[in-house]
Amino acid sequence: MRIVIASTTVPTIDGGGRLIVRWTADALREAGHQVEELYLPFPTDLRLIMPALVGLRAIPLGDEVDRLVTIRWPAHVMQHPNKVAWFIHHYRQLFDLWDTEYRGIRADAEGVSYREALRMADNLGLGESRKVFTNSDTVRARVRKFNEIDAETLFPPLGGDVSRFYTDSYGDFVLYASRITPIKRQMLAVEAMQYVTTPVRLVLAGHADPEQYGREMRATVRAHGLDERVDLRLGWLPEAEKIDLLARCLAVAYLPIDEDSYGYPALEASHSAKAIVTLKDAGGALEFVRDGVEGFVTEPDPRSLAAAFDAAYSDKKDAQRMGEASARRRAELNIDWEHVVSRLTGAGS
Amino acid sequence: MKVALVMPLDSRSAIADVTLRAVPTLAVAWELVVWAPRAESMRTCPVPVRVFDSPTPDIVAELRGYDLVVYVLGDSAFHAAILPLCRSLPGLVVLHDAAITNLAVCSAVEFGWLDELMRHLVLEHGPDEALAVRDRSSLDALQWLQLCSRIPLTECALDTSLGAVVHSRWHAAMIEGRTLGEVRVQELPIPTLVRDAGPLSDGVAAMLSAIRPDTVLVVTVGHVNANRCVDRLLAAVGSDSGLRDRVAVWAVGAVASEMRDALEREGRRAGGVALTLTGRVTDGELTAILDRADIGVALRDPVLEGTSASALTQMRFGLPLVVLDHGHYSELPDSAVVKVDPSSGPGGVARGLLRLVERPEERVKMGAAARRWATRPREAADYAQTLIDAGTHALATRPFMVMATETNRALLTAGLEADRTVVNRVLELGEQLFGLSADGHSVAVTSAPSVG
Amino acid sequence: MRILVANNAAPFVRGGAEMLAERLVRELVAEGHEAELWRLPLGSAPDQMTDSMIAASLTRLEYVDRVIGLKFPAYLVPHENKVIWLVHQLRQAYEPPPVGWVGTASLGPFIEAVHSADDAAFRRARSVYAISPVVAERLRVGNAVQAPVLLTPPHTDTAYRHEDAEGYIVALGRIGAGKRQWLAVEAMAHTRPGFRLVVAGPPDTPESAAQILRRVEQLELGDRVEVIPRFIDEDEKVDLLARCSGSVYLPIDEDSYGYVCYEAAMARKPTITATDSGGTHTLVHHGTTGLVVAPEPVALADAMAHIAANAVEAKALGERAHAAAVGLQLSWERVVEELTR
Repeated sequence: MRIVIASTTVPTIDGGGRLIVRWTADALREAGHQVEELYLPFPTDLRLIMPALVGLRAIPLGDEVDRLVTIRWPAHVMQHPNKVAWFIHHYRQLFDLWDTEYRGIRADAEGVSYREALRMADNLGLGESRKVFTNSDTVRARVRKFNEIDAETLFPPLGGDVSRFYTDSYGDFVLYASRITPIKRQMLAVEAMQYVTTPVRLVLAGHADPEQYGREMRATVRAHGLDERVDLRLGWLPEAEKIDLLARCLAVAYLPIDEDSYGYPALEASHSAKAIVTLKDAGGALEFVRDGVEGFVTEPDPRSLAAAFDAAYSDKKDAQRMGEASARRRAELNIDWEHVVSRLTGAGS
Repeated sequence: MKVALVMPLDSRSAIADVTLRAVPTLAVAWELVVWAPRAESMRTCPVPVRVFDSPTPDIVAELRGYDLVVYVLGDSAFHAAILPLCRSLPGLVVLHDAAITNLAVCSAVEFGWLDELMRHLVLEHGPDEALAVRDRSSLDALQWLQLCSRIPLTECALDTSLGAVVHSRWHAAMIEGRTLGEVRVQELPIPTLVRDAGPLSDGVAAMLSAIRPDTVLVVTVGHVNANRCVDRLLAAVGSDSGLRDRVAVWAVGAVASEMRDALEREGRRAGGVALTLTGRVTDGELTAILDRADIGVALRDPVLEGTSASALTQMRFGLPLVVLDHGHYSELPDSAVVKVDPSSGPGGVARGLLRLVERPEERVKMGAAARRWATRPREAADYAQTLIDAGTHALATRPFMVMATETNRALLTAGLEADRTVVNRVLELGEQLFGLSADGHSVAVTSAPSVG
Repeated sequence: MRILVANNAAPFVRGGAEMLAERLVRELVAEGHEAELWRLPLGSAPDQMTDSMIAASLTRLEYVDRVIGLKFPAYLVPHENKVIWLVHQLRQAYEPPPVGWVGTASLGPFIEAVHSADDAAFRRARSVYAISPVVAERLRVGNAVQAPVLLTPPHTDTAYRHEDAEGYIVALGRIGAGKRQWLAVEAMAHTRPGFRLVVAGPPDTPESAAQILRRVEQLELGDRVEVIPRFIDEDEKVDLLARCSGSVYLPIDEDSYGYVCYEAAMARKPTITATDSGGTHTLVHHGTTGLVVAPEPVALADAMAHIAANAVEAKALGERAHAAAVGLQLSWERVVEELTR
């Protein structure tokens, strides 16, 4: 088929959202399809969004295109008779973050009006789709709640050559490799290290955003006298180094708050056959990790987290068992490109 | 919610009076500040007031800091400084008059947007009408009022509004589709009439005592404008000897000297109709006159106001009315009001009057019905509540106003604003996405209005 | 600077403009900018193109310091810091038929809208450049805009070789009706044996290749004309150019100087082109750097024979062609400097 994958971007910012588009395109090409990737600039400021939605919907795709696959919000408002949407998340402030401190606008008649306008647009774009996929059960529930549409969960796999991941040993450190930012809660892991009783160490690696958060973290490590136990590698982590750390770590920590999906770090742990330590309020990660099966799911406080680190260290055999279960989990959940290709090209055609 | 209520506070403005009655209730629901154009004599206000001289960009910038701005507009110079603000910063418009032609012209002249107004007039009505509006010297008073009826210019206030409040269903029907938001109808609160404000002047006292007890006193109340059809009333009275003998006509209200001369001539020509022109009177004098009056006449052609406060006032005094059956007058109850076919000329008015003059029991019955109608609870609090509800809905309209403005701007920048296909397609897509009604008005492309 | 390069797109079609846009982004990044490419589908019918214009005009960019617009309608995107390096307007709205659309009741307004949008975009742009004199002239005639020419450097950085001529004229480039390789084949029927013609390049369609091959057979030129109807990689191309007597390139009204002419010149070989070939005249001047003749078999035959038979003159033409090519100062540094000034 001749397939267009369309996604929105914020040019020069947020390069991460492009990975899923590129990987999906590669997987489709590998399966023999002709694929065109379209990256369409879209604003984040609420006042600019409604006219921009009109502009997005105007983009013409004719019958030279057999199927349109849309990804990042609000690409699904683009028109094509044979469209499937792989929905990642809403304009969060107006929907799943409406009842939180992150709403960002007032919940008055104007705010509600914006919300209902965007809801109408989402209902239209998703309603027109032959099929709506979501990247997790969490998001599937949101689509049901906010748009009254039944979607199918389609988990996004890691792209590129995944044979690059391997298992070397189950060492003495817990690895948390991810962008270092408040919403990922690396600070919680640092705090936890005050309470561990085993020699387990912690390696944190990633680009700090904002920079200030990275500096605070260093100061906290220093203040708690944890320089020997916490290896803080600020800055972009080269792939080879990450793979090596994954291969040798005891377990992987992944501690975001209320994310829509399990996150690529969980998959990286799985590919390296390592157990995953996560938290009860992490969101989508709980669709991958079950407590005692693929890893640990603890209360989001430093002591409980410390207990999990210690448990992994004390019983490395068990850590290995859970690591191997984490490796098997992908197959259980159909997290592979063949499945993705089959669903994106099959459904409704 | 922080709200700015932009309204006149001039002591001479009746609209100021009626709006102030709603302010205490508004101040409970809103964090309210009144913004008023400076005037020599200003009414007192129970909430904080910001007085301003001129609708400058700085004023607009300050108003932007509010969650909602409410503009009160009527067809007079009292609102001249308000109209440009209304055009620059979308808000809720409370519109008292069905035509605001006078307001638009005087505002445009005083605050420097006459060129823009003329461009709009030429585009919408052609160069001849545009010139007539600007150089009204070529028209007599009635012709001018008829032009106002043809070219009400309410779009100057409503094109950028988030919603509108008017005071009659007729007016609401007239402006349907003109605002992106909702139009709400709410009866005006009863105007204040202070019963015992000072002694009667010698003139009025004398005129009142000169009326014989069996004379039927027929009054018209309010500024004697050309559209009040006083001449038609005089011709009607003059056409029937029964009316001529029994009726005294008093036109109560300010009257220009040319109008006075003309009407006195008309009265003589109609066969010696007993006509009295009182000129401007105090509230106390008006009360005394209305107490004595038997019939009220409120003939308006063309109808230029949204509702009639003076008609209501007369009805409150138990006066049955004779009105023309059009405009908001058609909404008055038949039990209290005699409605005359507007095209039936003086003859129709005469017939209507006769019905009341010859049958005192009918007069009394209808007068009682009129009093009941006019004294129905028409609380200022209800009026305020309508404004509050309209304000909430105006907020909900704002995203669509932002969208329309941004889209207009984008099409203008792109050089595509004149292409019908493009504009229609944009409207169509907007409708698909957001359910906006594909009304050409809502995304009508106008250049951004300038302020002062 | 954070730069967005704006190009249009025809899904699944990848041509010179796509490669140019991608190269430009790479060069901007190499120069230290953050650059990305935006490709907006144009559509193929007027109603789709109208939609595309709307899409461009209602796009709002945040965090972008500069836009470099290449083609209609992507260059319509609103931005206060926009530079247009004009590769293509919508020629259907400017040229006479058959390229141009006739302004019927339905098409008239569309054409008007294109003109109006273009005028607004060129007026508001910070600066406007044209990729070639031909494009600059169209801009002048169609929109009354005087734009300096900023020639496109080649997509690839190839090291050309020069060797003694081995007795053949080479016709490179996509094989298709627009490039008229068939004309060179016809011309060979009017020449005496002594040199060959090599036609090498990917065919537009299977039929394009089949037609040429059929004609060679009909004219019984099988021993004098070689046809290689496939993609020619860089090494092969360099080799074919290095050993040829000269190149022949016969497009109709080419937009730009023609990469084929440039490449032959860089290999110090002369090019034969036609009087109606348009932009190729930038590099090919009759008698100085090559030959320009009427697009007729006999005239072409003479030209090809002349080049093949006069090695010394051909060499001199080739040297001057090389100087002319170098003289164009085609460099990505220059382009980036101009577009980011």
